Amino acid sequence: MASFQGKGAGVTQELNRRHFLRMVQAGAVGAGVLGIAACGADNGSPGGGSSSGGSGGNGGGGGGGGRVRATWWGGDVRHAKFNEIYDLYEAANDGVTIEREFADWASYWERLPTQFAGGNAPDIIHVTERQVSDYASRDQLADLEALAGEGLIDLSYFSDLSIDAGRYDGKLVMLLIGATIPATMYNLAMFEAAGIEPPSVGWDWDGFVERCEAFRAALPDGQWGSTYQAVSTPTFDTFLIQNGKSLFAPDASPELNFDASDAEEWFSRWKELQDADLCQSAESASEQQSAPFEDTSFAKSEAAMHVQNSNQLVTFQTAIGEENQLHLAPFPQMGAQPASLVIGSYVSINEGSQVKEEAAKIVDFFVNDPEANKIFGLELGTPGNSNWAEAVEADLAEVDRRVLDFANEVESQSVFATPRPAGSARGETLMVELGLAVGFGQLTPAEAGARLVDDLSAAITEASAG
Amino acid sequence: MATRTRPTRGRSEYARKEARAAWLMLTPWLLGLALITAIPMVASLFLSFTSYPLLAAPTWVGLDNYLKLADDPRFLAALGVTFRYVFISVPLQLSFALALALLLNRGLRGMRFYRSAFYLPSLLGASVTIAILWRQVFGKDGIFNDVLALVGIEGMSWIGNPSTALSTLIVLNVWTFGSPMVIFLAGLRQIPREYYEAAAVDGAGRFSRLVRITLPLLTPVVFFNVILQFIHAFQAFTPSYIISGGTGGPVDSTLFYTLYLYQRGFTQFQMGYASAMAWVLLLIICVFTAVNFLGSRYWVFYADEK
Repeated sequence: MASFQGKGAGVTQELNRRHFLRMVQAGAVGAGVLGIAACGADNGSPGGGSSSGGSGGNGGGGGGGGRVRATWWGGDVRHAKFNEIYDLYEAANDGVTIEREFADWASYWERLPTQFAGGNAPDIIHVTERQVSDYASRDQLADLEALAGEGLIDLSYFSDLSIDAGRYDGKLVMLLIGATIPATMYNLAMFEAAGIEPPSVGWDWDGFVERCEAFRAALPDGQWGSTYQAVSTPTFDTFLIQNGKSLFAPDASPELNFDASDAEEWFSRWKELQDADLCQSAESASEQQSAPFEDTSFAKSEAAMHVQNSNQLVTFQTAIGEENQLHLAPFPQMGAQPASLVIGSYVSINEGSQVKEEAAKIVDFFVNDPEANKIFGLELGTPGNSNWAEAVEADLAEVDRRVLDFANEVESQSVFATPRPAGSARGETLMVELGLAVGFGQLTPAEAGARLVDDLSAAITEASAG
Repeated sequence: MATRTRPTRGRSEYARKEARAAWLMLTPWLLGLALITAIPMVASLFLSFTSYPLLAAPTWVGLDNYLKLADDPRFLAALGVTFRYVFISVPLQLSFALALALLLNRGLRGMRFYRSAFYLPSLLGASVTIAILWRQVFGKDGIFNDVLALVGIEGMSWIGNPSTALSTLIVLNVWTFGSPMVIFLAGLRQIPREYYEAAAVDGAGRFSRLVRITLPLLTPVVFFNVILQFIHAFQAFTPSYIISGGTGGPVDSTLFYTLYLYQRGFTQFQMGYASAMAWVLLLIICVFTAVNFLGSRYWVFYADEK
């Protein structure tokens, strides 16, 4: 038994050591947790995939002649498109190697800041207005207009609107490669089966509620006209924009651009709907927060309307099957005037890159070359330059056509999202937390509204304080 | 042992050689200790006194991070969730493990099979796959509700409901009782048979043999398992991360300490704050383990002591 005591103590020490290791990694370096997370956040794609050969430790992105590192997020389909385009560029440009790193969305956003912190970030990166200020505010993104001035990128086909959307503090730090609209995606078959008129541009909240009521009469228990969207940040932002406000100050300063009463109105409208059993229950919404798309009510044709990014229509149409035709309508007018929020995917160049010129040429090829445009299609949404749209026009799939038509239909009421302040990422988890707390009756809409304002402003103030 | 201390020249040279070889063979481990454990630990201690938004250099803020923790409602919520998880799941898990070990130790036919079968969940329990499986089991349309339906109970979404979500994670941890069970089995094997024979001669029944021989002699193993499993449970991350999709939801009901640390570090990029949290957790575990060791004097029995 004595020996056992000794052995026991030894193993315990060993465990403490392992524990230290884990904590340290989480706290200081993050490699351990990052590894776990990279597996965890994977949505069916080979997460954390990296095809670059030993590019980890070469400082500012490869000093050797034509080695350019590019990174992006996405699933298998997108990875294949990027690879094809970059292969094409390599074939046309002798001596240029494009090293590629790609991951799913969550892993991507864990890895990129770590790479910037370590001084080994890739040369070509992809961002959205949600993260750009983290990098742009620290001068980590190159001035694309300056590079265009050197004749390296042709910006002449880009609309003024899309160029302006890519500015941070007046400087063009990102170039729009795909705009998408968080919209009401609906299942046409369910509308037809119930004999309900599908939504269209110009519809409002009352029309939304009426349709939900009609579906209540037509559908069995546990199925609804709409999912519970109180938890969706872009949808709430759309509602605010309809009232001339927005989630965050348009200049990316650490300020909110709405108050607690706006949030209260938002939560209470959804709560009323839910209490009347006109939209998805809190329990069902809660369970589906972390479920793969195939397991959600909308994908199983148990909810007729859902909010989704318009560019994902193709993905969802494939998943749900052609017999359930999916269509798009703007989020109903809930505020003072109709408006649709446009969010974007952008490409940027690392200011610290040693191969900025070559990177700029690759970006130019990506956005302006008709072959490249055709390969990429509308993968990330509507492009910001007219020549790209023309290049893909001819062989557009029918589903893609629906996305493009929808974007054109709501163009007059579209408002581009502006760069968000640092710390804004808390908004996404907070909306889910508060939206569900209201749904489960743990908070009143008024309490949730106040909490949203308090917690969100605390998060962005803390983040901007450093 | 005695030969080693004999002061002959040849021997000591041999010992020196041996020591050199030992150091050489230890080098990989020592390097790992320094590079992967010691240096990052010191770095994280330093970072815990800084504000470090990851994309900018850390700036010294003294005790700010630690002071902020006390006022952070989500930090307190995460502590609450973690403590509930640890103090409910570990005792349950260990009781389960002990009960099964006692059962298996009675020389069942096919014991090897059962031992492996019961051990299997331990290998899988902390993995991503099982966390995903758990969603299928305790979801609204999950197997658990199908079973309930057989006996006429209408189920609910156990993972979607803030009042039951943590319980499903507790069940998950209890389910991984295999590794403490195997350790219990090893402990049971070490209890000398003579004690039982002597007790049987004295007319001791099955129950009094269990209470007076088995359990007292098993206390060192129980103690070892307690320490091991508590530390393990304090560090739990994957189940909550996968089942809640990284949010700790619904409504923060499964927000484990480590998950909140991760959110602060990797979604809000407050590495200084996250480092402070890591050190507070370390402190909690140290205190807890120390208390356990002190308390062990009163209930852990070592056969070689008087």
